[in-house]
Amino acid sequence: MQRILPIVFAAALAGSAQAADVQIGGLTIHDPSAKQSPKGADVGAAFMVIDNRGNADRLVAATADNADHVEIHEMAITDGVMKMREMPGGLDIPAGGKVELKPGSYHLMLMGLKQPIAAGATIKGTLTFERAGKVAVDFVTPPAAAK
Amino acid sequence: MSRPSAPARNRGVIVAGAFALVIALPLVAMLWLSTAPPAPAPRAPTFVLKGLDGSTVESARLTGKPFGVFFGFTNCPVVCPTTMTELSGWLADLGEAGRDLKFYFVTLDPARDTPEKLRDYLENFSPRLVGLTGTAEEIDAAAKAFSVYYKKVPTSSGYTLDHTALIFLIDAQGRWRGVLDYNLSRSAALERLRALLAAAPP
Repeated sequence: MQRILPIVFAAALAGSAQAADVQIGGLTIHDPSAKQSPKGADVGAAFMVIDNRGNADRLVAATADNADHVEIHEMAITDGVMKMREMPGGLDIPAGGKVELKPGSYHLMLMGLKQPIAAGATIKGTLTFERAGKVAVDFVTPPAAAK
Repeated sequence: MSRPSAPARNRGVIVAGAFALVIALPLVAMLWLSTAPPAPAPRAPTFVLKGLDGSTVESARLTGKPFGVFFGFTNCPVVCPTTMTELSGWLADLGEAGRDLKFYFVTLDPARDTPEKLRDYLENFSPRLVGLTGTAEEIDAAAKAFSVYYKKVPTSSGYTLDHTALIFLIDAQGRWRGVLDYNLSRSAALERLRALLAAAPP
């Protein structure tokens, strides 16, 4: 319970440097972002909110031009244990629904980073939906965290 | 109606007495517990691992200064870097008071996390974070000692790890001082770290 609020708060903070919303069909992709990655890490994570005003759809694939490939993952922390799973069938976007990809939940996992994701960077990528098709997005990394 | 017979009266006394005991015993116990000195913190588990320079690092030899331990891996996209970033911030907040406090990042993925990789990775964070590695057996023994759960999970491109994401705190005398759990607030984390520093100076 106490874990939920800080995540929401962190997400709100991270939203200060926002990418443009992207629309495809009935879907709107809000605030596509990538987490700054430490030097030495081969993986990164990207987030967004997908708002669906249309029919049920499914996010089935994604790319990012700084990563070998991108996987769709879900993650949860239960009793202090972090568990992460690939969602090989993709992520359902229900009709009229909203799905959040955020830390501690669904996210895109950027595998095989060609270079670390720097604060303030913009990463070009694509999202492919089963019905709506493929759309280009810019994942924006917030500037250096003001901690 | 006749008065209750003697055996019945006696039974009443016994029931009342038993009832009083049931009420009174916990009260006495509570009073006793509240005035008793707190139980000493239990000994923390130990580990024998390798520093990034190949030297042996034994937790038993670290006593004299408090420290923390986190088990993770560099290919962890969210939890590990977030934890290390937050921890670095808390250490900066503690300032001079936390100068003796070190945190050990133990890799659970020695096959991919070479000492060079760990060194590069930890350079992103507070200089008080120290990387530890070892053979798979040494790391497994350390993880077991701390009841750390970890499990390799295949993905389409390789594997990731499920793992316990707690920072264990050990005081200057090698005793358990609790954990910092994921997404702990800054104020709660600082409170626990200050308590750790205040716990029985060497």
